[in-house]
Amino acid sequence: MRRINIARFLEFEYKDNIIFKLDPRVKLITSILYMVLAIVLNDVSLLAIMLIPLIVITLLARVLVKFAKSMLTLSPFIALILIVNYLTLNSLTGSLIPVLRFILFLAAIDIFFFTTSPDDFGISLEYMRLPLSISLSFMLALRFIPTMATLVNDILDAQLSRGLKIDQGGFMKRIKNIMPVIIPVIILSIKKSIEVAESLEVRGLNPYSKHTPYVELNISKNDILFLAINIIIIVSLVMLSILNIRFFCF
Amino acid sequence: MISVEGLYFSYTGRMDDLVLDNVSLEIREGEALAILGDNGAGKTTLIKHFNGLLKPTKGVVYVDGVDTRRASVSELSAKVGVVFQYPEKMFFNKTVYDEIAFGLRNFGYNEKTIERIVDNVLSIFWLSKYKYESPFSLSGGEQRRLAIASVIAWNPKYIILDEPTAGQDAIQRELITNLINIFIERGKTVVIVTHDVEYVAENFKRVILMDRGRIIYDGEVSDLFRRRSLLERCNLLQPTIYKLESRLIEDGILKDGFRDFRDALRKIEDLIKSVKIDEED
Repeated sequence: MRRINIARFLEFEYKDNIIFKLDPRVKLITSILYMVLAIVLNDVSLLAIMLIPLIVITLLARVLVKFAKSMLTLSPFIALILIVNYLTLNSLTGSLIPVLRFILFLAAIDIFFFTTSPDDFGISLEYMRLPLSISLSFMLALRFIPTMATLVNDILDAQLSRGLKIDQGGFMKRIKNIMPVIIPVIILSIKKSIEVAESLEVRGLNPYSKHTPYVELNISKNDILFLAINIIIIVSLVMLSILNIRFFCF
Repeated sequence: MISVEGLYFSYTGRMDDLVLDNVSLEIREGEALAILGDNGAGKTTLIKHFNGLLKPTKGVVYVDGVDTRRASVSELSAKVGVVFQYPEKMFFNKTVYDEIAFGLRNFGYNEKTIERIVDNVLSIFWLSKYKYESPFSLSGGEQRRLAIASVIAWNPKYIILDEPTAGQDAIQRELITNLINIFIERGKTVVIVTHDVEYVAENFKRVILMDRGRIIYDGEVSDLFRRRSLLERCNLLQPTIYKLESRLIEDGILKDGFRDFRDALRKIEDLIKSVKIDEED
């Protein structure tokens, strides 16, 4: 049975470089813009070109290996999108578009989450006037992913040590096999969330009262430069799309 | 016998990121062994190699001559019963009976045998009255005993316990340590990972001390607990009995050190008897 290594690449790991130091709001806006662009563009060549700035950002942030690992993890899903679209559309170009869109979406999400701590993400949402109950829920959910993966691995180890054969049998049997892992995970997750809620309440958290953020966010020159460069790229790609300019022929 | 030969292990597979660094040891049948060390020393990682949950990055682990890389966790678990830290978090069954029967069913015992074994185990662990209760309704100490019972049930040859008394009150600790001592007295091979130096001083002869993935001491408990600098290096305190020994030697009251815990008790008793109490005082 393969251990769940999801925590390895989802865990936030700080690196001292320009991308990590950017304002989380700037990174969030940039990522959202790239995701919107991935939907707007409807041409394989432009979508492929769009990958270049995103890869450059992962290189600058030194998260290319992490990004490659996340892509590798989702590669069966990417292959499935390609096959299903090819079978329905009977066109390679047509089936490449959803694949590229998926990869671009993933790249934009990865860049944001690999370079932004859950705390910074929560603060940026708060600064964007989202209610504390929502921003805090997002932040806690993100923080909980590696904890949950560790929990799953611990329970898996304990049950395998009691002779559980998780990889045996047909589909239904395998689902049944996983129950001794799923049930304790659910119980412990609920217990954990109650503990977190209580610990927040006893420290005076009230999502409906006014409070001061514990970190001040300031836009720097680098933030403006980063946003400006990306907006230029995005606008250029939109223009190329509007003018119907193609770079490769399929 | 469990034999570990030149074991290196890294979670990332990289040799510059080792959690276990050239670990070699032998655990003989019927032996009681304590593994001590600071947090992150690699104790739990080491015991996960005994039932094949982790496979060596380099080196070999043999269980009764079987290379753990060539056996499944299930095959090895039949011989090596591992009780992890806070084992009560693995509960998922509706009743205490089913929780103990889970491992037995996995190892292919028939229901009649399972019922007999479960009844026996429940009485050993003082849990008979909870047979059809939910495991989640038990107290913390009872849950811990149930978790240990659910591994002991299939009578593994080697019993490995990771911090079995962690988070327990004094009475529950006493109950659990008494149970472990019963296994030791019955000739089971028992390996215990712990920070509890008092418990080790009282009940074990052989001890292994780990620091940053390496074994830095493998030998007699009485010898290790006299090496204060080695203990301090691993953030461990000297057990009370050995603190008393060095004080008695310093004051010239005791000439030779204690051989073991029982010898210490005997010598202290003799010392108390030899003290003449001045009636006027």
